[in-house]
Amino acid sequence: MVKNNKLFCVITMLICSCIIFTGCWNYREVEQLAIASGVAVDEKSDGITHLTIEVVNIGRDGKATYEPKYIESDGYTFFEAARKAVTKEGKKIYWSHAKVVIISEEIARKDIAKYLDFLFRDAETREDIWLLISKEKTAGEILQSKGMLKPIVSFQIDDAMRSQKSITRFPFIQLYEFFDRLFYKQVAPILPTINLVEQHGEKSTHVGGTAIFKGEKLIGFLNEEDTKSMLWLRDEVKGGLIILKNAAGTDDNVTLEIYKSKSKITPIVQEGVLKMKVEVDVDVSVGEIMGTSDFISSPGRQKLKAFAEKRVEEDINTMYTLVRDNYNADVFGFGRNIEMKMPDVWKQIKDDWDNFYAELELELNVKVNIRGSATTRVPLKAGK
Amino acid sequence: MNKEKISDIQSVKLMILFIFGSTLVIGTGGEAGRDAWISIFIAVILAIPIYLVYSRILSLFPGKDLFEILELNFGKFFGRIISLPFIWFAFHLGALVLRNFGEFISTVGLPETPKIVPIIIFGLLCIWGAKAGIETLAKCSEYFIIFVVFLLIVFSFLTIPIIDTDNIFPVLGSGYKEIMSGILSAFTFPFGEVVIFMMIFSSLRSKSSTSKVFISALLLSGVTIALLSVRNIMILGPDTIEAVYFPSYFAIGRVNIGNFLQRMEIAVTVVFILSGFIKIALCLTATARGVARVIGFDDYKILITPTGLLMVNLARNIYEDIVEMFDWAFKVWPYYAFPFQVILPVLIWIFIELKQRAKNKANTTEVTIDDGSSG
Repeated sequence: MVKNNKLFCVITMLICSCIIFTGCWNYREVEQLAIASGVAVDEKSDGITHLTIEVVNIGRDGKATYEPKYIESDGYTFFEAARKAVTKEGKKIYWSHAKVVIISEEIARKDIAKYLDFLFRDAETREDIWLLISKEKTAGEILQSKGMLKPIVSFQIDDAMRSQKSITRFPFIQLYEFFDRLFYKQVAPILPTINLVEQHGEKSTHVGGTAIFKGEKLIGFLNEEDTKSMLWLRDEVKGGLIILKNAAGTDDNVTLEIYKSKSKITPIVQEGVLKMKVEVDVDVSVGEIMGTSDFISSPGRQKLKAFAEKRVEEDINTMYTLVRDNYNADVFGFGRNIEMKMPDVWKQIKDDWDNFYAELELELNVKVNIRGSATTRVPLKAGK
Repeated sequence: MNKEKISDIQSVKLMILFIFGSTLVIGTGGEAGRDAWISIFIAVILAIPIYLVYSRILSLFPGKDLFEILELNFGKFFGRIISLPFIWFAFHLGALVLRNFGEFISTVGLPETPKIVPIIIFGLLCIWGAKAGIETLAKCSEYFIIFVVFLLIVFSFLTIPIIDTDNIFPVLGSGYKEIMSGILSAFTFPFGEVVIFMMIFSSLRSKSSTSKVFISALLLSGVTIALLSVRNIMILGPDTIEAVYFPSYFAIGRVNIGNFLQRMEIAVTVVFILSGFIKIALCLTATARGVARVIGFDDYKILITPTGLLMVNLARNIYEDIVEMFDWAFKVWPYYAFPFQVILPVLIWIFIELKQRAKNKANTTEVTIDDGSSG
């Protein structure tokens, strides 16, 4: 009898559990979700936020096919526009898999932080999203271009961003790094820019170049060449190429491939003036010689090395003067560097950093080490 | 009355989990910015004398908890009066941790679920744990600590690619005022909260090593918390740590190894649940013991369920929202908790020492006989 009672209790509890405890409070079935892969943010003329959300539409017929769908939505706030998209798709947008946020130039020039607050605050969006500034008229048209290898444009941009190491023509910045920098007053945040290029008659995305911010406002752009020079001053060059036009006085163009690069940046006081000492140490190999000049033998290598060093140095100096004089934006984080290494000096100049930076000199020292010449010992030329 | 016994090593583990409690999720010493870890280290050092005071009080009366000691020394009436603030502190602390848990779950995981749901469920679990007794909790902690330590070590290693050592420099750049308030904040949350253990440590098996238990738990957990603070500062930077509610959760969320090992914030939640369970259950035990002693019950366990349910209510109603919770935790708590954690225990200790000394002087022989019989 006792045993039966126990059994009865257990079964009753099991039945109760089945009824009460199955399912979650706010459960979501996967087919009820529209998985967003990217979003483009524009502003309509009357201060209304216009979102273009790229949603991955997963095919239901046995094979896993997926194609993009675009939902456009307006709202007074980012959140409103995002929520309103539900009425068009009929499904709730699921943000956790979003890879890309593209912001139009117009918005970025006014105040980018306003539009990013939702992404930073919401629990569902992740912090490792790519944030890009559109150089086209609207951000939406970039998202709606045609993907080359992948049908989903956001995924293609994600791939392009991840290949940054071998390209070095745009900064590698994820959403959270941008936030971290935004919090820090004396550093100018930067973001990569994106535009459309024509390929086989179709518009396709292209990531390259840098958008420079001062605080939350976009103040200017850097082209791809200058971006690389800038990355050198941030010690963020991990690969990529150095192109030498008319190398060392010859008619030949030479490509050097970067294997390793290290920039040592230290503030120094010289004759009472604070300067930034930058020592760039690059390991390269000769990747290509478009011509017949001898850059492989010992004296030839010396010549090439000296030329490359001078070229890189010139590039960096030109870019530095441009950024410092035109934008007065400390995109290199020199202020932070001074704070780290000379905290006492920093305390004195902190509040007047902009003016101080306007006259900050660079002491640049580039060292290019040619480590090899790929697989061949001679330039390719016809025999005599 | 009390037949439960726990070994020294179990008490150390219990105490470590208790100190981890909500600290690993909320973080501490944030006032000091990038020097938070220094504040935490100094707070650990400053906590040593206080812990010695706690253990001294306990070891003078082996096998007795704080409430019994108070009654013995201050008389039945005054002893009970002095017990009251400690009971309130244990009760309040339990409710705060419970609320932290509720806010954490509802902020990062289930925003549409009412906060009361996780609070009630977790509260019931803690009532169950406390009812099972301190012996069971100690055995639980032996088991839990494996998971906690494993997760902390593994996930700290996984963060290596995203740490930026520059973030902790310049060392000592925040200014002494900030560091001092960081020390106070780290001292009162979590190290000083160990005062709760005075109310439950009648169960220690050996008598001589109370101080060893306190100090080793303090050093182990203190160093861990400081190192995790260094980790978080290196990953997030002081500004972001200040901007987000749960720094550890954000820091682990940034881990992304080859697009494969990613989205592992849940590990932080596991650590919080395991250590938070121990913390709340111990607060509950301490409260129930105190109440039982004050109203003269023999068995404290029948009081655990009502106390726990009240704690759930307090946790539900104590704050309006998460903003108020964090304001309170960082701005008010240090000053509120300090008397319970330092001033009262030290006063009690001085009183007891003086009394012991007077007793010793008055009748040396009697005391030695006493010692012999109680040993």
